[in-house]
Parts: sequence; C-alpha cells; structure tokens
Amino acid sequence: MTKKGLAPVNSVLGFSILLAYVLVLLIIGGYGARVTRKTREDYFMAGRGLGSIAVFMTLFATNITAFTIIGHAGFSYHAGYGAYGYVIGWSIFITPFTYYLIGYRSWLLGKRYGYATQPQVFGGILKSRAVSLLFLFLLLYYTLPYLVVSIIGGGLAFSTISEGLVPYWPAAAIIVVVSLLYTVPAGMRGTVWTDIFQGALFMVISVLLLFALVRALGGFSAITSRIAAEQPALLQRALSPDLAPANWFSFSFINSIAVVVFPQIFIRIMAARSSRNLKQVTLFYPAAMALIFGISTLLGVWGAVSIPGLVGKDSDNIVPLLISGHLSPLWTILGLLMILAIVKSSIDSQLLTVAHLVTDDLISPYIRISPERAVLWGRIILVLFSAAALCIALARPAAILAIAAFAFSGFSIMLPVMIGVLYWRRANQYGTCAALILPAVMLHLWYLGILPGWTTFGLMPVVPAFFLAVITLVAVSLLTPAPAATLKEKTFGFFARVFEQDEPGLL
Amino acid sequence: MNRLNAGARLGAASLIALIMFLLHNSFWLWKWDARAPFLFGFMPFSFSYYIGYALLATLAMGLVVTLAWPDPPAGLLEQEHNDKKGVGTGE
Repeated sequence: MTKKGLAPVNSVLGFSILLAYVLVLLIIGGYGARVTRKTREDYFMAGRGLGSIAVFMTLFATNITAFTIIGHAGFSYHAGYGAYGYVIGWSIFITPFTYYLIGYRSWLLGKRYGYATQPQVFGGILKSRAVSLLFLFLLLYYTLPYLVVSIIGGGLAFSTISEGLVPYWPAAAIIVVVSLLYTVPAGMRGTVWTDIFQGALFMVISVLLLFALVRALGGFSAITSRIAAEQPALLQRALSPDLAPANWFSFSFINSIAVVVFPQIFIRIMAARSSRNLKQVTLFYPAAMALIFGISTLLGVWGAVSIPGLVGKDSDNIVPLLISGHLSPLWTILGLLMILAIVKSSIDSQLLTVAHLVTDDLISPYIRISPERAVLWGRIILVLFSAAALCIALARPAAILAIAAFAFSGFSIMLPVMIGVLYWRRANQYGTCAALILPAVMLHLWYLGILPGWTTFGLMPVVPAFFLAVITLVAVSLLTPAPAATLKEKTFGFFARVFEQDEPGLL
Repeated sequence: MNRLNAGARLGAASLIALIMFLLHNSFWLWKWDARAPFLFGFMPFSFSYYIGYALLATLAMGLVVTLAWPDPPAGLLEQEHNDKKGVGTGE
C-alpha cells in the first residue's frame, strides 16, 4: 500500500470544496423555504406535487445510507462477490415492487382522503384509533434507534475519512446541524431538493472513484486475476460461511421488504404528484440500486487483495483505506463529500419524518391546531428530536443499539399487516392490532435471547415472526366481527373504480 | 392481456414476484460460481448474475406496470378530493 498524501481537509482547497458543498445546500434550503407555504400539507408533503425525478431521487437518496459504502464494502471484503446478491439482490426487484403493491394503493387513498402517514392510512381504513396509535408507536420505536445509528455511522465515517482531523463528536454534530439548517425552514421541499443534489453528487463521485481505483490497481482484469489467484474463495458463494443458504433465504425477509415500511420512504411515495411519476420510479430503481451496491461490492472485494489482513469490523474502513492508500489527496475530499451526501440525505429525511409523525399523529388528533401552528410545532419538534438524537448518538447507550440491531426486522414484520389491510376486505382492527403486537413481542424474545435459538428452525427470527404476523392477522380477523360493509366500501369501492377499468393506464 | 380482470392482473403481478424470488434464491445455480468464465474478463458469475437480475427486474417491473397498474380514471381524485374530512383516523 502506498500512501500518497495526508487528507487535505484542512487545506485551502479542501476547506473551500466543503464550504461550497454546504453553501449549495443552504442556498437550496433557502429557496425551498421561500416557495414553501406555511401549511401542513406544503411543509411536510411538498404540496403532494413531486415529479418523477424528485420522487426517484429522494427515495433513492433516502434509501442509501452510510451502510452502502461503509458497511457493505466491509462485508464484501470478507464475504466476496456473493455479498452483492445477499444484501441487495432481492431488493433490486422487491423494493420497487412494494412501491406498486403498497405504495400505489396508499397513494390513491392519500389523494382521495388526505392521508399522509401510515397511522393515517391504516387507522383510516379501519377507522381505528388503536391501529393508528400502534402504527405510530412501532414506527417511532424502530425509527429512532435507526436514526441514532445513522448519526453514529455518519459521524464515524466522517471522522475516519478525514483521518481523525474531525473527531467523532463534532463530526456527528456537523451532520445534524447542517441537515437542520435547510430542513427546518424548507421542510420536505428542502430535503427533496437537496436529495436531488446530494444523490447526483454521491452517484457521480462513486462512479469516478471506481474508475480511479481501477486505474490505480492495474485494470479490471488484473484485479480479478489477482483475486482468483490469492483469494479464490471470494469468487464462490458456497465457500462463504456468511452466505449460507439459510442466512441467504432469511435475509430476503429483512433488508428488502422493510424499505416501503420505513416511514420516511412511505411518506415520500405519498407526496408524488401522479400515478405516472410512481410508475417511472419503479423502472429507474433496479438499475440505480444495482449500480451503487455493485460499486461498493467491487471496492470491498478489491480491498481484500489490495489491503489484506483486516479483521472483523476493521474492514468497514476499506473504502477510506483504498482512497488514502492508492489515490491523490484530492480524492480524500471527494470521498468525504460522497459520505456526507449519502449520510445527510438519509438523516434529514428521518428527522423530518419523526417530526411529521409526532405533529400529525400524536399531537393533532388531541389538540386542535391551525395549519400555520402545525408547521411551527413541526419545526420545534424537529429541533428537539434532533438534539435528543444527537445526544443519544454521542452517548451510544447499549439499549438503543440493541434495538437498532433488529429495527429492520421490526419494520419487515409490519408488511403483512399493510398488505392485508389494503387487499383483504375481511381484515379488521382486532386482527391488525394482534398482528402488529404478537410478532413484535416474539421478535424481542428471540433477539434478546429469551427464547432458545432452535425455536426459529435455523432461520433468522424475522422469518417465523413474518409468518406469525400473517397467521395472526388471518386467524384473529376471522374469529372476530367483520368490519362494517360501509367502512370497507369507502376503501375497496374506491379501489374497484381504479383497478376494475377495462384498460389499465400505461406509461 | 388488458381484458384480464383486476384479480387476474394482481395474480399475474404476484406470479412475476414469485419467479423473481425463486431466481434470487437460486441455490442450484451456485455451482456456476466456480465454472462460468468471467463476464467481460472481470465479473465472476456470483456478481454478473445480479447484473442480469437487475436488467430482468426492470423488465419485470415494466410488465407489472403494463399489466396491473391502472391510472385512476380522469377526474376521480380531483372530484372527490374535496370529500377529505381531515387528517387522522378517517373521521
């Protein structure tokens, strides 16, 4: 490994590039604030007017987190090329498919009845405050630890790639504060417009980074030949213990199907202007996901032969190590920009979503507030939650990190309920509540080690919990009174007018 | 295909999802990781398979959109949006 120079973060050029990046964000946020009207709908939902590019970029940029470049590359370092299919393979199809399966029907109801969040959609269909509150509680319960972990991951990545020049705590604080500077004044419009900028930025830099490293390492074929000669196990999935078929199958139920359940993703789907916008997003998604995770996989595997010997979580630093070891110092700054853009485009969406959920679904149903006041409440809650999340990220309490470890699984097991309520006329509030509570309790018992491992039949706990949700929804709904016909007609009668046309609308 | 009813269209979309799920969990193809030549001289089968899978996923989503994703009839959302009775639990 040849070290070609120190990180130039504190050089005039490096500081100027970072300053220009922050200024662009602030200008976008400032313009977003000027055009955002002070209504709940405009502040939290951008007036439900997002076009195809805006919806696609905000969903994609929100979906891609520090894990993509840091954690996934580190995993690929050990697991080899098979890490690509394991982590993102099924997501490439099922994530856009769930945008159709769940997203479109929810979007239709949002346009028709004004719903914006899952508590509103699913509580609204069943006309049940209990369902609404359960959705709210579970979404916040899993989102907050996930948000804290995102801040921790972003802070660590920022600190690592600046080679320690920016320590962890100011790095985490900078990420949160800069996100707030454009999110507080401009709401969703601020996060979406900056997502377009940041999404384009990290995609361009990651592609350039790939080709710069290819050049530095002697070309595509030379690197692959070296891997085949020195670490052939990285070429074959069957030789990686991490990719055992039971794990592979189980993982299909965690990472991939959880995405549409994330409230920050769901709400962005609801903000699309038209059906056509959502259709186009589902067609753009597979290639974009395949590209960014493909780059991360290649960097991780190449790192295994170019910088061998990293043990455990040390491999999470493989991308910064490749940059500092093989590229000019300017790349350190570009790498830092890429990490910041990836991290911030997720964290700002999560922060705004938490404020949205609390304002709309926890405060508004109980305290009558005007649309202008709702925006003010939203801004105050946004700042308070950000401060709290930052403090927790700095303290890193074990309990929060333990919940975050299975937050993805927690989101995944809510999917059967969302599908059931949107597609099955017989689903009622009792079945829905039971199917939200029981699998969540079981998931905790399995992940916290209270139930023995054999009770999951050798699979990850999310798999039995997922099927338990299906069985519970069906059994409890059938054993309890059916929903009133008029109540279901409001949803299914409306769906019939859309889906039972003679000619489906094409692109 | 446009003559299919809504249930059949949803069934077709679900069948497409099932096929994609099976193609992802295609453990019987893993033996080709060691046998297949590198695509373009640098992509092993375990990687290039998912490049192909991404292309297939785009086609599959195109099929889902064409078969099972109707736009709302003109005027339906606009006309009835005024029925909205507030945010919350559908009251």
